[in-house]
Amino acid sequence: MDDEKLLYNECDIIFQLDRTDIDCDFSTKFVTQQKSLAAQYADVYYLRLMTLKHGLLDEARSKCKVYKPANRILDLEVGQKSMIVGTLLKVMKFRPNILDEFNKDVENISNESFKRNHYSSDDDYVIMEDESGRVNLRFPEDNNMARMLVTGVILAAYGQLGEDGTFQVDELQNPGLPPQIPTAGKMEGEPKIILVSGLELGNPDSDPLAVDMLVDYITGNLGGVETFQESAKVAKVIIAGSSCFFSSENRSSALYRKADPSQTRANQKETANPVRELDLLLTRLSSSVAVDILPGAGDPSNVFMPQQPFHNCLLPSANTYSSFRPTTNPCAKEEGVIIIGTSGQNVEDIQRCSEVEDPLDVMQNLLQWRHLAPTAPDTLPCFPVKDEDPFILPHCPHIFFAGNQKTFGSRTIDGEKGQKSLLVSVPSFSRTKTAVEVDVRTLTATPISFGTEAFHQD
Amino acid sequence: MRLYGVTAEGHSAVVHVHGYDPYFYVQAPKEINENICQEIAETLNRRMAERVDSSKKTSNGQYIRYVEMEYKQTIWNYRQEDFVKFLKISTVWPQHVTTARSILENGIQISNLGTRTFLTYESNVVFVMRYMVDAGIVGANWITLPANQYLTRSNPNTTCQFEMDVMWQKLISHDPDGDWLKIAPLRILSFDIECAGRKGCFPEPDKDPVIQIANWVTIQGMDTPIVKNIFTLKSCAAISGAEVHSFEDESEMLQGWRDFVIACDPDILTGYNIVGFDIPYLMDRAKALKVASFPVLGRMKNSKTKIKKTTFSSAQMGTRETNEISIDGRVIFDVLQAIQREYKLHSYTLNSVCAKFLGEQKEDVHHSIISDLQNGDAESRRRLAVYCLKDAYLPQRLLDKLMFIYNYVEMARVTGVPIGWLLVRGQMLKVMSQLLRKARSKGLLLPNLKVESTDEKFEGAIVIEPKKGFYSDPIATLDFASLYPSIMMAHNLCYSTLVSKEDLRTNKFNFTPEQITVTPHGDTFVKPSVKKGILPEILDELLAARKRAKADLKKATDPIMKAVLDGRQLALKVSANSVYGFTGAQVGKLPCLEISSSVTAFGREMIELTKAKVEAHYTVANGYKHDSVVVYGDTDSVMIKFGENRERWMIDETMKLALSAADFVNTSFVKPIKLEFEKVYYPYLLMNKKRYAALLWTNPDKFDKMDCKGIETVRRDNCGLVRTMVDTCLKTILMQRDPNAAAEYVKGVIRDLLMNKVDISELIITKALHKSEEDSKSAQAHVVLAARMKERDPNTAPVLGDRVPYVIIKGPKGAKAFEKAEDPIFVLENNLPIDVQHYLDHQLSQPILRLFEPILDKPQSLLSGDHTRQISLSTPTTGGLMKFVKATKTCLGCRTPLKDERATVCEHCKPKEVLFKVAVRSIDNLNHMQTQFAKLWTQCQRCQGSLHMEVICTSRDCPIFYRRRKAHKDLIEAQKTAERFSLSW
Repeated sequence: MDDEKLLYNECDIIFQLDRTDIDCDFSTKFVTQQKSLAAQYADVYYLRLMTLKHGLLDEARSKCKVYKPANRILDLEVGQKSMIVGTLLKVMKFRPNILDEFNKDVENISNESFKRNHYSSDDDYVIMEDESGRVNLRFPEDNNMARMLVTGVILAAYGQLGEDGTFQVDELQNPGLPPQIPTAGKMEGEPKIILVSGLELGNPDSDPLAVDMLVDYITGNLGGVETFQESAKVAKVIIAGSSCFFSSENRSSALYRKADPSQTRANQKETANPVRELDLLLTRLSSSVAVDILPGAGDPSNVFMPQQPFHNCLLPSANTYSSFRPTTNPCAKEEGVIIIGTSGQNVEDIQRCSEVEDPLDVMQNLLQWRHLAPTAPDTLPCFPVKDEDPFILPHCPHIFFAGNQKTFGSRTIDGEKGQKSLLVSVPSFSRTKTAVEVDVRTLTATPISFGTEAFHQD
Repeated sequence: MRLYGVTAEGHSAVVHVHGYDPYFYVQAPKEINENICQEIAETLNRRMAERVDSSKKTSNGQYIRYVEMEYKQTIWNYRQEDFVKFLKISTVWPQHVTTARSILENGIQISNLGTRTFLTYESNVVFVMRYMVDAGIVGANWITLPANQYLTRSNPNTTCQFEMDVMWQKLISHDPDGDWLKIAPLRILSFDIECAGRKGCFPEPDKDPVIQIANWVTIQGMDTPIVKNIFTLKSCAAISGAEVHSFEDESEMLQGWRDFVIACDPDILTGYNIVGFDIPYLMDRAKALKVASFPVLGRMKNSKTKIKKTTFSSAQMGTRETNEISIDGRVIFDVLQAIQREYKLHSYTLNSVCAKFLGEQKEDVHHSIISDLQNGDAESRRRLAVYCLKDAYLPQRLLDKLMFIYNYVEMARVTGVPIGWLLVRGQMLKVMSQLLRKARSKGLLLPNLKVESTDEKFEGAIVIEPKKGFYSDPIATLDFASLYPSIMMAHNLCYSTLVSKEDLRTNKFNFTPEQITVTPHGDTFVKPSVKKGILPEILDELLAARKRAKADLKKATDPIMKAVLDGRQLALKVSANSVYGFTGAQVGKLPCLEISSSVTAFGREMIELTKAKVEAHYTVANGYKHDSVVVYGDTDSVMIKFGENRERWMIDETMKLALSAADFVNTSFVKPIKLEFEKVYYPYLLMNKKRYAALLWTNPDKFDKMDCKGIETVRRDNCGLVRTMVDTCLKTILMQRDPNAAAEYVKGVIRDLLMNKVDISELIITKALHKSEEDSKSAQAHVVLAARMKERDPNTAPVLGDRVPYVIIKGPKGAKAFEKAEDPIFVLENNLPIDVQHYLDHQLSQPILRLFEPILDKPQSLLSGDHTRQISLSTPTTGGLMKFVKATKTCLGCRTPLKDERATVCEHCKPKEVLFKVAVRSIDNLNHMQTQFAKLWTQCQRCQGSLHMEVICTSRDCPIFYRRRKAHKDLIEAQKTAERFSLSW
């Protein structure tokens, strides 16, 4: 079908806007090719460790002479100042255990951990593990490093093994920002990208007017000439997940032992509406501007990360435009500026498993861990890959965004090797009525609100 | 005789006790004098010399040490006369007592008196107990050797750190009280072995090597282990926190482990099923490898570990075969045995026990994988070692968690029995020990009566016929506290207070009616005013001690002290209750049916009296709002309904009424019999005798828990579905008070079952494969199945001792039930259809009928009707007709067979609307499968304790196991379906 698509410029005739163009070929980095389920999750961790371990070891060797790098946890010697690299495992007592779902005792259901959505607590402890074994980490009393950590991160720990077999940590070292490929030459004009997430079409609580205004703004149908010119700068719209909303009852078809067999049929009907609405919205947008859409939580896509692009048959109308590109979640664009972003599940899961609340902090950590979703597979479902851990970041993106956050936020971080990266926390549109406009050239982000009660454009 | 122990500092000690001779008594002939004593001694000695086996021959031909006269009295029957002459006959060795006894029982010739037969007294007392009674030592007792009264051995015979010799009278035994209450710093070795079996066979010691032995040594009362190590055959990579000792030669490894045990010198050896498997296997293996010194695991140098096969039977436990293992100076405490004794469980595998008590699943590595790991490299053996260490660690955790050491030490102290006996012997011994102690202090002797089985039918406790139903009014429950002990105390029932029929007939004692009690069973006992019985006295002390322990428990702050005291009060309670059983055990040491029958007769009378009094007093006529009704009564409790359902009956009002009723009825009982109000049941579902469920309230604000009696949630031959269903029903009925919802739920379950929507793991029935069954090739489902599985794959087929899980599948018409059992994994992989009707008829229907009988008019209606009309079966992929079937792709929208195999939907479903819906449905399905898959596998990854190693656990007891398998398969299916939309995931 791809071949049949109209060329981007040809469909851009409705408003005759002079769009600033930046190259938009999203790579296939996150397309899951593997179909076999023969591998176990152990392979994911193993691949991850093997990929990141050597860089950390090399860095440690060059940087520090006091600590002796140990190749394996088993080689640690008691009392010797050492450096060790491994995968973290955070033992959380509130992490839901599927066994509890089977032992559905009344006592258990009232149990805190059953309802709790925040898994992290003060009783948690952290284990470091490599292919040879594991060791409990103990942190200095006054240090709250442990509260920031999550399972699946690869780190180097400096410290020494105590008599009791725990590793007393002096310092932790993360892999640091990955190297960055410089932007290719100067950019013409002021290309802008609109980031929006959490449209939640079909949510009875959301405001259809705000969504309409957003679309009008992007397509240049809102306001006067000034706005029109602003709109013209928008080169691309990225919709970062949770575009559809299904009430929880509609999703219960999978629930265990539901008495009513007619339920499933009713579901299908319900499911159809938000997706149909989305198709219309995307058609409107695509007719005017390039649109990328990431699937997210609640969208009709797979649950396993990386989520795969929306299927053609779900969005039949939008699909007739070549300007419309359903992409994976996370998505990556590796030419010109490098943009990497997700629909937010990775960030949300880390907030759940740690005491870090600010999404920008989480995102900064992710870049420094060189990993997009360390908590997968532990608390974030992912495919049991066996060849490559797709979430490892080989390059530092220029723009890194996460959708469906509580509030807007942005931050520019600078790496030791001249890396520069803009972090954007894209708020959920249905909750905040706010989208984000990113200036690709200057690497700045601005929120645009469409609140009907206090409308302003900034 | 040797006493083994530890000092307060933790040093091991052994005391050789000297000068204590075995003995027993016979009643002396009236004509007795010094000469006759002498003559009996000589005659007996001569006869003994002829009779004893060669193994019991002494070198000097002396068997009887002495025969002495003592004044004693028999405990049997009430007697007025004072002490009479008894002969104390002391033998040289304890083993000689039995021979001497049988000679005396058969009669010996005494000059001038002719042939006399004798009834022997206390000739059936084990020598060790005899000594402990006389020396005033109880199990787990502190003992002081006074300075200058003992000798230290310069040339030790044992491996203990201290070795002393002492005369038996010189030991000072301390009552477990105050400072002496603390528990010695016992050294506990918990271990586990792994064997490499050949493919398809359970390891046999003469063929299959022991490959690893993991050890975990702790000191009682300390949190962290002092030693963690593992002995491995062939190299093994290091394990953090544990020492690894690798051996190239198996004999050397066994020898190394033996040396370790001796050096580590544990007081207690523990593990899981070590008595049934680990120790015998090690012993047999050492024998096969000719490691001569291996069996010397005890503290005596050169004394070998002995294993004896015994059948152990007791009223409490039933009959089971066990090994009796004795290792000198060490207590063998098999956690499996302890748990089997204390808890009634669905399954006793280490895995399910851990899941139950520790709340965690245990990795289970299949035999076939163990051999593969062993044959791998140092890393794979390390994997196995970590697993093995965990298996050594878990029994230790169970020991701590279930307070076994505290409870057993206290039980040993209370009953005076050595701790090592508690696990391997019955209740009887404990009562015997107490009775002996008490009798000794009174100068009474216990006759060794020949057991005569009587035809008298033993009438059990009474049950007031239950008025079945679902009561939504509060039901008060009045209980007799310690019913049987208090009856024995109140009515002074004892061996020594029983007036014999003969004496009654001849009116030997001229009792006035005030002096005696005639029990409802028709036996006569004297009142305490005439003579206080021994049993009531023992009970008195036990219950008083329990009260004290409970009071101390309340005051105690130290958690360890609390554990000790709680163990103590529990031990006291159990002991008090077992006294009644002792008198009633017909093959016991000293049965007395007059006592036990009288006790139950009193019990019956009291329950009936309570019913009569309550129902007569709490009536509208007497000014109460309603007539009260006793809805049910059992052994020691009465359930009373004080009110009708006309108005809202408050729980606290019921409680007040119940309290007053208890006081009211108590006036007619002899102390210390006491009816107590304990709890209110509300609501109350009374299904049958000994079968009810209710919410239990002890205070009016909040219910304490759900109390279920006699409801088959623990029976092993029920599948999980039955358990979940019964459980959920009870909760719905009791907590939500919505019997209709429960009925709807049951219908839902039946519908799901018939629609094939129940997870296979809930339909699995398990049975253990025993030796006898395999041999007999009896037509039992699991035996037949095991044979079939062996044909398919001998590697993974269950072997002897394994539990065989199976499900019942649809078979050809008329197939026998045992032919329809199938391996759940095979069923999953081949989509075999489950015989849902079998489950409905044989598993679900009975519990459902029982549960709903009191609630619905026609409980049968639950088993038929609309919800049973739709039946869906999976299509098998093998067997039968399937060989001739060609699978055709069908339209995902309407299931019409497709002409074009590559198409997703048929022409009719082609319109976008339909295609769209179908796509969404398949995505939803896929998502559900993915979520399940991820949850299940990450849990296993966590559970096994390593992120980087593959999960190899095949624990079929774990609820995850089959679901994991199924999730895997379902996900592949869902992926295939999704791919038909050419979706790329």
